[in-house]
Order: sequence, then structure tokens, then C-alpha cells
Amino acid sequence: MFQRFLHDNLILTPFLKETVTSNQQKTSGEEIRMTRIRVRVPLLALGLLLAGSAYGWDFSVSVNGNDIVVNVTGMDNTTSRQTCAGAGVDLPGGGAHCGIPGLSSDTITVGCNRLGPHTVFVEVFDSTTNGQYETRLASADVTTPPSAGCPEYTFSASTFKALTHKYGAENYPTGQERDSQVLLYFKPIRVDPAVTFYGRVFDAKEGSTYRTSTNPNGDNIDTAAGKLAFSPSDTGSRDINFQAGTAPVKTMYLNTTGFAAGDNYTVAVTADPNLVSDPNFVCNTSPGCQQAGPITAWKRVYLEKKQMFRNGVFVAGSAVAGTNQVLVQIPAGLRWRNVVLRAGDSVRLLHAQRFDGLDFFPDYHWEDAMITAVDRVAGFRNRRLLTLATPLSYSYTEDTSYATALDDGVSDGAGNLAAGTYGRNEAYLGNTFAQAYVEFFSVPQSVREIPYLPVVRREAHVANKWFENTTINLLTRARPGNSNVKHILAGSGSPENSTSTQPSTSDFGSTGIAMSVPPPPGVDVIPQPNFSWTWVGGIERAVMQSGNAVRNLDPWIFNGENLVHEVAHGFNVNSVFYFAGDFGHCSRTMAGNPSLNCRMRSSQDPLYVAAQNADGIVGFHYSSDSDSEYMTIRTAMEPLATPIR
Amino acid sequence: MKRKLTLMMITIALFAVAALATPSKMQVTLSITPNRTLPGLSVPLALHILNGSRAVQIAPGVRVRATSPAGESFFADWGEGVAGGELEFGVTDEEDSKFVLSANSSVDLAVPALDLSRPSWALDPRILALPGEWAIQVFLYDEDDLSEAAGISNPVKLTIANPTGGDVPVWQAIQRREYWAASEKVLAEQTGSAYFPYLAAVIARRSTPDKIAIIGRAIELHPESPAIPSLRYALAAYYGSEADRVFFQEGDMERAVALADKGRRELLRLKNGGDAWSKLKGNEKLGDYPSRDYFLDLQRLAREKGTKKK
Repeated sequence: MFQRFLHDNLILTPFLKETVTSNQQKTSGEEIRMTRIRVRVPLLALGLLLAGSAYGWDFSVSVNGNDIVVNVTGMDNTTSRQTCAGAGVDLPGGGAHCGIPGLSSDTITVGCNRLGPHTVFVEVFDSTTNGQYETRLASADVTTPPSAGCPEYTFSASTFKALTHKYGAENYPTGQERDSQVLLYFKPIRVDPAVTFYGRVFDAKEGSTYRTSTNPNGDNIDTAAGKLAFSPSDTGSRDINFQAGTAPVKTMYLNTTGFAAGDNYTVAVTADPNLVSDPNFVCNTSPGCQQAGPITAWKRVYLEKKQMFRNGVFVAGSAVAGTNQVLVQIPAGLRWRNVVLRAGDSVRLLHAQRFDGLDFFPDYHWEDAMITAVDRVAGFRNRRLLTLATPLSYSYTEDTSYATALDDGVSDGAGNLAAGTYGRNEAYLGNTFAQAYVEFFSVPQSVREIPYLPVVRREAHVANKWFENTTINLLTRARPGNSNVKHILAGSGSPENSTSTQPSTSDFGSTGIAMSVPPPPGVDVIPQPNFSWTWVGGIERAVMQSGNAVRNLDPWIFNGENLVHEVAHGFNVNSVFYFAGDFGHCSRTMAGNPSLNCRMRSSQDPLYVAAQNADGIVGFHYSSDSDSEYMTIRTAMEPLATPIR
Repeated sequence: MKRKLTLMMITIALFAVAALATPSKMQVTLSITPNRTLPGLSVPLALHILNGSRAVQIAPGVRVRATSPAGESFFADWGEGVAGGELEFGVTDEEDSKFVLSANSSVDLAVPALDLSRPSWALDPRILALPGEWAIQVFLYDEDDLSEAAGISNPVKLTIANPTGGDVPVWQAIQRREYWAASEKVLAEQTGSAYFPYLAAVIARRSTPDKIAIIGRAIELHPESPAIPSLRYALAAYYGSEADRVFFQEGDMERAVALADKGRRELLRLKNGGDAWSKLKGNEKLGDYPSRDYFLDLQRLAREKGTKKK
């Protein structure tokens, strides 16, 4: 047996909610049963016998003195192995008991309940709940007063993380229902309804390890935020007061900063009016004062991720759904012997919207197919007709947005599945950006790979072509990306000496961001760029190259550290030209580790150590609030990417 | 003795001067016609290359060094993250794309005037922003040693004139990289502008037949524009794409062949053209271009192996 917190997602299907609440029955022993579910048992049993395994869980709720007792039965561990059961009174998410292999029944006792009616949330995870917790409701009436050992009241936060903005269609995490706002719960237990309580928001001590010299009682960046309200639509105020009231739970709303990730708050509640009148009031040492928090603001940044195939071809002409043949063309600069597609090989066909957005097939899609024949066609050295084992489910077409789009590799393609892709190492991404209070979230996307190019000559064109979560600017060709979406790509490389077909062994990544200052020559791209390329092919070549400063480094670790570097550029860190066209770098050491490079340290810096590109230790610098990648990332105004300096 | 020493010193000095005067083993002579243009509009860079005593695999990448009216020199940024241009070698070998210039031999190559759908040295923000008297040099590289230039051309003068009238807002739009907006405006209002042929291949969100018509109009209105070879190549590419589309989507082989024939005519014009790039590019592309035989082949393969009979 072990303890775990409830899953983030509270599942309350309308059917179940309605079923349970409309069919409760009180027995003489104050037992409540889900009769409708039981009525269905004979029918279900037949079906389940036919299915051979699953059956529904059930529960009963009773009151024993002041305790509310929940008995859960019929949990199924046949496929999940694990079962969990938990219960909360008047609030969901009271924690759950779990076991592997799980038990089929469990009893949960919840004590210290206020006199009067309560709602009981029963939560179960088992083989029948589709990998999530299922929650059912019941009611219970407590007629025995709580003991003197019970607290006067409880005060809690629904979550300790406040997303400043959620731009995606996904649900908010438990405890949050809108941006920059966290739910707080006051539960009176032994308090007279007429008692007045006071609440105040405090600026909690900075939680990071690098920003250590700030005022512990006033280090939030957005000093105007941190207010309490009784309605989700109210701005609120730092101080509030309220009566305990008769409701089992009083909900409050903490309105946090809308941009300054890392700002944090504690909220104190007490019946002592000194909380709001005495500036020296300390909740920790005041009897009866309770605190919730610290609650910290976080940014959620969405990543659209693409990986380039290590070999493959482009679609020429059109391959229409229902046919089993695709005319293909090799990437510019190569010959057929470089491609080596043969009968028996499998390819993944990839379609993106046209570069200019005008499209007969406006969606993004892909499918796998096995090649049964590769045939030459008269008059072409660089094309072949692939015959596939089965007809295509979707259509694929050459991009004719501009005359040489196909030559540039800005077109639909077919990747050789056996060749694999240029992988992206995300091992360091989450932990490093968590120090800047940024969490990454994978944005919905249809296509995850892009066609092979031996080198990417037009990095903005290729990135834009495959960028799904964006709109097209019809003046400039820009695809800025939807709010807070960053486009990260792993590919072969930029060309050595502009048009070589070999990836550069000195250029390991490239990020395009919209800047508020005119870019110097060398960083000029399509306006409003939004891409971070990691040149995996270039890294792999460089670590094998005699005389290269990164020779013999681990290319996979290098890849992961480089990804952190490029994504940080996406936040417009170090928004200066460090050296000529060398933008966004610094000459600093890592916060808390002065012997190591800041991950954004410029290779032009005399103290730059190339070997640290792959030491597996990743971090940024902190010199002051105005000179730190962490702080730039934390304070970037949303929606990203909007440069702030 | 003193005289002998003097002669020796003179001889050494002459050798040193000769050595310094030779920028590399490869001699590159650059010429440009016309030598006057508008901001953002590149002109053809014709290169006569005389190799030294060692065979060299010439890298396709070239860089352009520009010297501003104020005397500032720099390598041009070609825009959109591209640092250099691409030479056309006209290699038609099925197995190898390398171009090797044998010892003591010569060749004529060129960087064409590029329409604005392509990166170009003339789009370097510094060149684009500053009309006046510029000097241009071309740097060539050895594919086996890209660390330094294998050949550096002579500098040539190029006058970038100040745009006037309706060309001023076009110039400004190009500086803002609003190519799609600029091309629509020029097409609608200023087809007489020297910018029109350079923007004719940039038009977005039109059908391929529309694009063919627009480029055809630009060629008709500006037959002397330096961008004509680049436009003819774009035209051929569009004819080829449209021929493929008509064949695959409409199943109309005769129309596909007719379109391909039109494209081939453009490529033949290039092949028979006067400049090195046109000749090489036209010849090279003709080896990778649709024809009746190509469509017959596709038809046969579809019949033999395809699921849908045409």
C-alpha cells in the first residue's frame, strides 16, 4: 500500500452525476446507496460476463458519530493492477489510498465534520475508470458535533501553482478555473457562523535558488498583484473579512500576477483583526491563524515539435488519395545513390499546408506506406515513381507557392522510416526552465516529422511550411505562431559554406524571434520568425571532426543542452548583440556554479569552454534582476513571443 | 657589390609584389551588365575563372564582398538566414554532382540576377538601404578546403540609383520584407516599374496558371530586365508543376504535354541564351523536365502497377 495524491483531472460525467444524486436512498442506518447502478447490475453482469473481466465499483456512505465513513467495494484490478480509493467531504480531492495489486474494497473515514449536511466526493481508480479517477457524489448529515480536538476551521489552497495564462483547449489543472487565479477554501468546523474572519495576502519568500539577496517579505516583481476576492470576476483586495457563515465551505479567489512567473504568495486567515491592522502581525506565532501557500505563478509555454527524417525524398506533382503511386524527387544537391529507397522499404508520407497557405489539402496529415516498386521515369534523373503496397488514404502534393519551393525542400515529402529521424533530447528542458517557473506543454499537432534535407538552406521557409499552430501574414509571409506557442525543430544542419551539402560543424542551432530592435545583417529572416532549430546533423559531425573544439563530446547530451540554449533564445534573453551578429548571448557563469558556463555564454567569450556543451549540467546566469536569463524568461510579457526589451 | 645587392633586392621585391598581386591560385574575372540598378535588384555576376596548376572541386557556394560608398567593406548577407549564393555548374552526371575544374583550364560561370523569391546579395540590409556607388567582389571556394577563398575576383563598380516616384514605397516595402504586399501592389499599379519583373515571381496565393500569366507579362513588359533569365526559369518550373498537376489530378495527358512543351521552350531559350548561367541552368534542367515520354512512362507504370487506371 502507498499513498498518492489524486489525479489532476476530476471526472464528473453528467450521466454519473445525475444518476447518483437522483437515486440516493437513505436507509435506517443513514446508509446511502446507489440504487440505479444496482438495478442495472443484472444487465451489466451479462455484458461483463461476455466481456470476461470488468465490473463497476460501488460505494456506501454512513455516519458514525462525527465521522463520515465511506465503504468502496467492487474495485477491479484485473487490467490496471492498481486500485485507489479516496473521499473528500464538501471538497473533492481528499487524497486516496492505492495498492498494487489493488484491493477490491476499501474504507475511508473522514473526521472533524461540522454539524449539518455535507456533500461526499468518492473517488476511485481501477480497471473500469479508463486510466483516470472517477468521482461520484453522495450526501451525509452529521448530527454529532466535532470533538474539542478538531480544529476551529481549515483553510487551504486548491493548488500551489497558478498558471498565468492557459492558451490551449486543455483543462486547467485541479484548483484553477481561470488564468492567474487560484481557489482557496475556508471550512468552518467548530466556529459560530457569526464570527468574523480576516484574510490577507503576503508576498512569500522567493523560491528560487539563484535570487537570494532579495527582501524576503517583498520580492515579488509584480507588486500590484496578489488580491483576494469572493467572486472569480472581482479584482479583489489584499485584505478581506467575512463571516464564517453556515455553508460548509466558503470559496475565495486569489488573483495572482498575470506575467511575473515566480512571484509567490501566502494567504493568512484568522479571527484576529490584528492580521489586517498590525503590520508586524505574524501568522505563524498567532494562535488560530492559518496559512495557505506559498502559491507561485507559472507560465505555460506550448511546444510544437518537429523532427527531420535522416533520409527521404520530396513529393513531385500530386499523389491523390485512393491511388498507390507517388512521384518523388530527391533533395537538391543529391543523387539517387544518396537516397537508396528500394522495394520493401517503408516510408512516412508527410503533408503540410502550402507555404503561402493556399491549399487544395489545407490540413496536415501523414501515413505510412510500404514501397513495392521504384521505377525510373523518362526524362528525369532526379525523380522516381514509387508504387505502394496499398492505396493512399490522403493526398500529397508538390508545393507551388513559389517557383523553386521544391528545390528548397519546402514541399510535401516521404521519409525513409528505416533511416530514423534526427532526435531531440529533451532531458534538460523541463528542469532548466522550471527554475524560471515555466512549464512546457505539448501543443496538439498532426505531423511530427518533416522531410529530409541534407542541409537546410532556408531555415525560416522550412520551419514556416511545417508550423501548424500559427496563422499566415499575407503581407510578409510571416507565421508568428499562436499565443505562447514555440516551434522547435531538430534537423540536419545549416550548410557549411552556404551551399555545401554537408552540415556545418560550427553552427549547432538557430532561433528566429521577433525583435523590437532592427536586426543586423546575418540575422535577417522572414518577419516574426518563431523557430528553434537544433542542428543535430551538425553536432554529430562536429564531435567526430578532428581538431574541432567539441570533438569526442557526447552528441546526445550536446543535443539536449543545445535545445535548452535555443529555446532560451526564444524568450529574447540577453537582448543585445554580444559581438557583431552574435545575438542573445552573455559572458557569464552559471548561477550557483561559477566554474561553469552559463548555457547562453557566447562562444566569442574568451572564457567559453566548449567541452561544457555536453557535461549534462545546464543552467543560466543571475547577476541581477535585470541581468539574468532566468529573470528575462520569468518577466516576459504574455502572450509570447513578444520581446520586452 | 652594392649594385648587385640592389638588383637582388629589386628582384625580391618584384617577386613579393607579384605574389601579393595574385590573390589566390585561381584567377577570377568579374564583369557585370548592367552596372546600374535600383536598391534590392541584383544584377548578373559573370565570372571567368582561370584555374592554376592544380585541379579544384569548386564549391557551389559563393560569397559577395561589397564596399559601400563610404568605403565600408563586408560580406553581403543574402537575407533569410542565407549567407551566400549558389553557382550553377550544369553538371548532368547521374552519379555525381561535383564540378571539378582541371588544372590550367578555364570556365565561365555566373550568379544570375535573382528575382525576389530568392535570397540575394542585393538584399543585404546595408546595400538595400544605401543608394550610391558600390564595389562588388565575388569569392569562390574549394569544396575540399572551405576555410579560405580559393579565388577572389576583381572589384567592379555598381551604381545603385535612388528610387523615385512610385518606386519609393516599393523600396520601403522590400526593406520591411513585405514581399507579398509589394508584389500585389506593383502588379496592380506599377507594372512599368523596374521592380515588377523582380517581384513577378513572388506573387502568393494564386493558381499556377495565374502565376504563369503574371511572369509572362513581366517578361513581355521588361524584355531587357536582368531578371529575365531568372523569370524564364521560374516560368519553366511553373509549367512543369502545372503539367504534373494536370496529369495527376485531371488525367489530361495531352494538356499536360502541351504545358510541358511550353516549359521546355523556356528552358531552350535559356540554354541558347547569351549568359553562362542561362546556358548551364537551361541545359541542366532540360535533363530533369517533363515531356511526352515522361507522361507516357507514368501512364504505363500506372497501368502496370497502379490501382487506378488512367
